[in-house]
Amino acid sequence: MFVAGVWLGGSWHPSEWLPEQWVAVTIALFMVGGITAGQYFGYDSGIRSHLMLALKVGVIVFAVGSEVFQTMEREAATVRYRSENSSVFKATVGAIQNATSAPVPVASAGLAEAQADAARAQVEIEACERHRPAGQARVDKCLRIERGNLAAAQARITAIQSATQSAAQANQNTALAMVAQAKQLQFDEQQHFQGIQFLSQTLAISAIAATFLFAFGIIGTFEAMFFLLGKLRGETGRALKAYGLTVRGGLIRDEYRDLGLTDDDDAQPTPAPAPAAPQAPRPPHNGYQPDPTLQAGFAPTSAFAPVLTTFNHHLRQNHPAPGAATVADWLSGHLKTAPGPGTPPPVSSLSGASTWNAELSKSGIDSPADAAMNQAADKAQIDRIIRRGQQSGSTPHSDLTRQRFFKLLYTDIRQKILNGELKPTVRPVTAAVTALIHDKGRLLNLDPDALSKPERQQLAQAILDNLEQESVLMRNQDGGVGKPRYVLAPRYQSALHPQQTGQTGSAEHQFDMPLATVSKPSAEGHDQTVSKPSAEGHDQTVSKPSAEGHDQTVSKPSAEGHAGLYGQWVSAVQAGQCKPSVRETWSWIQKRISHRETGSRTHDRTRITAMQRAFFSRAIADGLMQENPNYRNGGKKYLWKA
Amino acid sequence: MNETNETQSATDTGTQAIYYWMDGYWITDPEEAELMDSINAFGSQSQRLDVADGEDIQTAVNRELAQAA
Repeated sequence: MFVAGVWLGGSWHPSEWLPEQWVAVTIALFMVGGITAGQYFGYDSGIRSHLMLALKVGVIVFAVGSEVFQTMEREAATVRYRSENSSVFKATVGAIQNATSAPVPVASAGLAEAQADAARAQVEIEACERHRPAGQARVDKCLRIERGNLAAAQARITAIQSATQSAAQANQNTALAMVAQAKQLQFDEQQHFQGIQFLSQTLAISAIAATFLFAFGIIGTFEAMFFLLGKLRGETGRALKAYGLTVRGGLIRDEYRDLGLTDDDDAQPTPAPAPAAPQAPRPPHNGYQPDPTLQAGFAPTSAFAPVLTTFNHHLRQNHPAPGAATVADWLSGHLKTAPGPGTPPPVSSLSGASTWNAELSKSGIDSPADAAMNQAADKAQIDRIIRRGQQSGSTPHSDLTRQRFFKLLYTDIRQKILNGELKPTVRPVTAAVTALIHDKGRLLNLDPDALSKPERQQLAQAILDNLEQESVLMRNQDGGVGKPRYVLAPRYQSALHPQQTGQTGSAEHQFDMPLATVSKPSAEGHDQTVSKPSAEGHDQTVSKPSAEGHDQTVSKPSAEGHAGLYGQWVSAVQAGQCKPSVRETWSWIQKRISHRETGSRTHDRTRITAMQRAFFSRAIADGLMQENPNYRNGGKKYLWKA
Repeated sequence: MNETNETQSATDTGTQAIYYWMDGYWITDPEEAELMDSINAFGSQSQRLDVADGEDIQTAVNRELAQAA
């Protein structure tokens, strides 16, 4: 409106517009459309640069300025209209008309008489010679009398004319004064909006300044709201992006696929083959024997694959079910098709696209009848708690799904405790349970807020009890008031702190690897003689005198160093928590050493890069990874062997 | 520790310095070994071993591990 008003020259009747004015209006519309588009994309972009800042400032200034000035213009038009239609103004205009059209009161009768007297006197003066026969004195007397009459008549004439002129001048002055008054009344400041008058009087500023402030306050508020809405939309989009979702609720991956974009330098683990039988223990992985105490059904710590570490990872690993437009659709579709309680889902019955249930099956989590589940402190209680947490009115899920969800909680927390990321006490485990329920409970329509803190503490306690039964935790020998009830079992402690326990290597796992020494190109790209793990093909069991003075048979780990950070990284990759790519491995390492490193070492990117390369070299030497022979720019440089 | 001097001295004496861990993994770069030890990458601290030229490094490492046990 502002732009159009400026360019139209005040003409608001399209029927009266000239072609030039039509062109001006069209250009104005494009200008405004461009500015609005700039607002939309600029506020939402999230781009931070000087150019974007300048763009935003320009857009805001133009938008606010044009709207403020247009508002002021409308206010002025309103004041003018009100003023011109006021009774005072109309009366003034009427008075002007009266003053200018009223006739001048000329005393015509008196003037004519005076002029006649003057003429008569003049005649008598000229006729005074007729009195000559009576003598000179008579003539003088006649002249004297008639000249007096003439002077009197002329004086009357002068007075009358002077009065007439004065009256005319007075009328003219009155008219001029009324015109000035009408001019003022044509734009009466008293006709302003009351709010503007208030501002004007309160701040002792002119009405036009008050109008500007008034308009700026209103327009500025709206523009600020638009800006914040755009910013909020951008931040929401970025938060959703972390979960692989778009603002519209779809998958980013689908959009990338539709656009023909491929992944960058990431190596996707090749899917592990499905186990032959749901209840069968996992086969050895790279000579890696599962801990016998976990034969009940839990996969070994380093081989467990938590299903839903992130939506991104899960969906990248699997193909969505046909017809699923969003993650929510996909999840609800598969949860609804979950088999009934007591019936483990056969792997072959699952859709060709891997599902959440299939992922659990791959990890050995198939049946609610897993022995480890039966060891739960109170299975019925756990079911009751989880069932209560489900939203009312939602489709109830089978016991199988609920039990699997508890197992998901259990294994995730177990992993964290073994990694040293979580202390085995109720308070931190309760916090971890709460966080997991918030993150993943919605998949089962589990309302995290419906579970009270005591109930979540019960879940945490059940998990800790389970871990004790699994011998991951043990009772604290130094227990007492203020002391933790459980501590990590010694053999798991050694994996975290080998120097403190006096042990080297890891006694957790025993490996079975063929003896081989090869020279392979390292991750850095140049030949580097590396080793492969040495093991003779069986455990090395030696006798070693213990601190108690009698021989103690210990097993010495012979390959792969899975106790240290490298082992944790391998576990994380196999669990899908970290991709075997340069970037993710780098980030994974950096997060885990930050608490150890101090000062400049913490952020020494060169050191971390060297660590990442060393890990890759070792993984290649261990046969866990290989360089992609078909690598091309933008493709996957390394391939992970499951 | 100066890698170059060490390598030269090792070569001069007919041996090669390698750095191995208790799980049998070994490398030749001392800086990398130190780096891995700093973060406990392999669950133990690296040990240096001078391997004679021509000797199989893995065999030598295994022998050391057996003796250490």
